[in-house]
Amino acid sequence: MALLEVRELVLHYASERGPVKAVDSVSFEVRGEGEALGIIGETGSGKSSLVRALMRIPPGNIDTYSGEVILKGKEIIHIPEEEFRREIRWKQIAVVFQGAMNGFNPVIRMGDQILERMVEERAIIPEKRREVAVELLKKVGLSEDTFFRYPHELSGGMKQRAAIAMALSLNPSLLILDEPTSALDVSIQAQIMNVLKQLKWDMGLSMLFITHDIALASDLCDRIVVMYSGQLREYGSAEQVLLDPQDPYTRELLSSIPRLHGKASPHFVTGAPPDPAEPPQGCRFHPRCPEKYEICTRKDPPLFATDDGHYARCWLKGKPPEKG
Amino acid sequence: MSLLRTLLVRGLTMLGVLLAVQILVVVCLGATGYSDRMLQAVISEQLRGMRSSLAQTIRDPARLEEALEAHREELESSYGLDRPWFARMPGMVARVFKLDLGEAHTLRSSDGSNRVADIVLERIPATMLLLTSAMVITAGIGILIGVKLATHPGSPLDRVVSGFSAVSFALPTWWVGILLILIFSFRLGILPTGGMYSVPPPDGGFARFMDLLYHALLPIFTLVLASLGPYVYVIRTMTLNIAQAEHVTIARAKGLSERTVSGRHILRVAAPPIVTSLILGLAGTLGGSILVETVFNWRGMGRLYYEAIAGTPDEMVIVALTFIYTLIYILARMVLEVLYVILDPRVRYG
Repeated sequence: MALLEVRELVLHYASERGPVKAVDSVSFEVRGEGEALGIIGETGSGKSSLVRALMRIPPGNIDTYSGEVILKGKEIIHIPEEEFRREIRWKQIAVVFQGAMNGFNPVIRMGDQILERMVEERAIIPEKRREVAVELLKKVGLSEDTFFRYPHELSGGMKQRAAIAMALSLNPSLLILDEPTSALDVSIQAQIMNVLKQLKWDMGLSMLFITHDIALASDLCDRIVVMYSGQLREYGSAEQVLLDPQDPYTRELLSSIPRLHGKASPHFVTGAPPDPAEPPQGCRFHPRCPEKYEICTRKDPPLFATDDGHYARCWLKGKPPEKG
Repeated sequence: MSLLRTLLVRGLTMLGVLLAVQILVVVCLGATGYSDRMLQAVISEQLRGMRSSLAQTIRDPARLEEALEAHREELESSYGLDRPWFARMPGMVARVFKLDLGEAHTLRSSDGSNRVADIVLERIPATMLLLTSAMVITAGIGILIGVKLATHPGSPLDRVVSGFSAVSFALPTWWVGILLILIFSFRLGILPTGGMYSVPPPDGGFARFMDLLYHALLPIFTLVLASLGPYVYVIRTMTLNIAQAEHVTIARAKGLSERTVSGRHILRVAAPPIVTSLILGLAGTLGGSILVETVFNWRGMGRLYYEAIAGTPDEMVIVALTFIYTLIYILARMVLEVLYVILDPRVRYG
């Protein structure tokens, strides 16, 4: 049984121009036992909305919010909000957000914020607080005195580490990392990645790693999902997706990575990501696709299995139905 | 250590403000000739009284005029009128700074004392009653409504209140007061038009207190109406800003209860600007209270200010009251500085 199973998750925002399809029928699973699933996508592909949908903290303007999320065999999208808050948030699924720079309350000491949920639950006696916090801080490579610091006294990298420590405070079974390094400079990025790898290898923590940086995803993830315009584009093991991409979009993405050696200059994906309020007819990638043909402009392809556990949303990989 | 230094620097700045305000008052009263005219009037008044009493003993009109002239010179030199205002008035300010408020020329306290300190002191409780109740009510309603609006931005209620706060901001306090008197006293006849006690005042401490409250209703309502609007809007905007901050989303994702999220992660963070606008609002109400007390014939410092400027001019009282009003403002600002240090750790280490 998979740790987390997401089935046809939909999150559409209401707008004056009709529903904005931020997450459009997305299905995937995280197998657990230290598996890291990478979700790769451009800006506006629906990555962050996916996090909000999974944590049930969507913004106010919801148009459609449906689908199933099954955690350890239990459906969690339709359970009462209070139960979800008490039992799932942070206890089962914890998140490290993109903007951890501003992710801390500026007027509360770090230690109190890291332990806040435990304290609210009375899951910790006051005398133990210091000890527990120091242990958490050590796991992410922060010194003991961080406990007494205020957020403005920490650097970006330290805050991001503290955010990870905070996420670990209740021993969650799944850690969602929403672009955890994109606001950091490269050397700090490497340090954070090392912390994450340690958590994955040493503690066997399962992760959902959301990023626009393919290199980072390949560094950490066992399996990879490529998202485009709110949909899954390609889904498979890291080797399958990165070494043998089946979808033209994934191929274009991969060829846009600059290489240190070799003469080929990086290629970039032409055009801009589609407007999620009015996605193109047919395949959503077809206006930018170098390999499109007639049916692509008419019908949205389903996910075709191309290999064992490897799926791609492309008409080149499957037979179009007889009648289109 | 640096904390003490910060507060010390602020304190010195505030003293500078106090000094500047005093100098401005002296220049305003002196350079316009207001002070000279005021003193001349006081002297003429005293001479008139003297003339009738001297006339009893001195029969010869020429000698009478001579004696009066001598008295005039004596009085002029005792009031310092023989010197120009810029030589005379600095001493007055210096004395006020030593908390010696001096003696009033024309105004008297209710038991006839002419010491400015007595005159002002007996007025302070009345003003404080108005200001503190208005402030407490404004703060209470403001925080309740402001926070409520922030949770439903763009709702019909939000729009109505936004409109009201613009109106409330634009209304002159005294005009609101007159309007309320028209409605509640003349039309409906349920509240008094002014004054602090009924005539004759009821017996017994409690009855007197209730009578005072009954008379205070309209002036307090006036002050609240004029200051509530802008205050609600500030609270709404501040709370809304903070509510959309990243750390609030994270607090929710942490699974904290909604009470903790709004109390600890929104209101607590929004507290410094909310307190700022409340205290600066109080400072603004000080000015408004002069007119409100005048309109409602409320015997507080504001009414006294008005009397000292427009009724029976008395520059000692004007200078002393300006000093006290500025002092209240400065104290409020100092309280604010200290509160800031307590509320916002980012200010602590500057």
